[in-house]
Amino acid sequence: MAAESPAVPVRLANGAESGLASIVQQYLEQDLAEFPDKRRLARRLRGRLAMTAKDYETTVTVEFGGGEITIWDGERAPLDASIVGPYWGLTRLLQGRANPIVEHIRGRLHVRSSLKRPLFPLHVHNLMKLPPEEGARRPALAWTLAAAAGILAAGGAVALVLWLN
Amino acid sequence: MPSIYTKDWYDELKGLLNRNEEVQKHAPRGKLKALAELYGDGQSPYLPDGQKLFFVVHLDDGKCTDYYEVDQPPPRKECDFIFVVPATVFEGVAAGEVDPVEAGLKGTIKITGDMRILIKHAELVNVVYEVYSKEVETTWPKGKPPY
Repeated sequence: MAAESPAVPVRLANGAESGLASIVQQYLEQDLAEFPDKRRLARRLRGRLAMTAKDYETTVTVEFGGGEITIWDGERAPLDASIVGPYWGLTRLLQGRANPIVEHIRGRLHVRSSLKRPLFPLHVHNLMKLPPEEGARRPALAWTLAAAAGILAAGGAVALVLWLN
Repeated sequence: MPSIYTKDWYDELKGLLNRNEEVQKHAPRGKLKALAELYGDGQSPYLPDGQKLFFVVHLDDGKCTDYYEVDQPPPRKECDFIFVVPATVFEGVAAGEVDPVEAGLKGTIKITGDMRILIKHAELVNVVYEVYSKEVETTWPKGKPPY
């Protein structure tokens, strides 16, 4: 199992002393240690995303380098994406209660990405948001089962029609 | 009107936390143990420069079951969260002068622990701040911050 999804070290860059950098570093380290799927996703990501809590004038840059993630204080150019907004807006993203594109359209956050990597903020959000709780997973499972039952029923109906003809 | 850092003050905080419905609503389920490590930074009249003060907070399903000062901190691995705070910053939070979110984001308060719990229950920080700064009536026998 370990060979399939090796560890992805998450380190603070030299001089990164902000609390936000420390929180993001510990959070990613803990989340990646628990979820192999997230480690696989992290290993595929390349690029830099800056997150700014505008109301607290605090920015960190998360650099995905394949096998390693580095957290910097401030903006570390060149950036592939940035998310700027109030602290609570960023927290809601991490909590998985908001989507960066929807929040951008609603004007709550300003999300920017380079033409080279237009989906980078979404990929990073998928990696960084909290996993849904057990209770929240059930509807998804229920929908999957309902969809599968629907497909089977439709397939059965088609087979029945073909057989009758 | 208990003085800061007295047993009565800790007891009053505990009572206020337990009577606040928002604390219950936003607190994580299960048992949590948090350690606060305060250090004198040369400005606080309550904690001399270089000295440390430790207190431990136990939460159980959103209820504060214990809130007490200790002479020696428990082993760090026994704690779910550790907050290392300059005394003036803690006293500033208690006086409603310092925003704990800002102090946390800037790194003035150093936080160690399960950040997934912290992010998931981020609203709790503001709720507790409200309790500290507005509900508890702290007496400041040596002066109230900012000093």
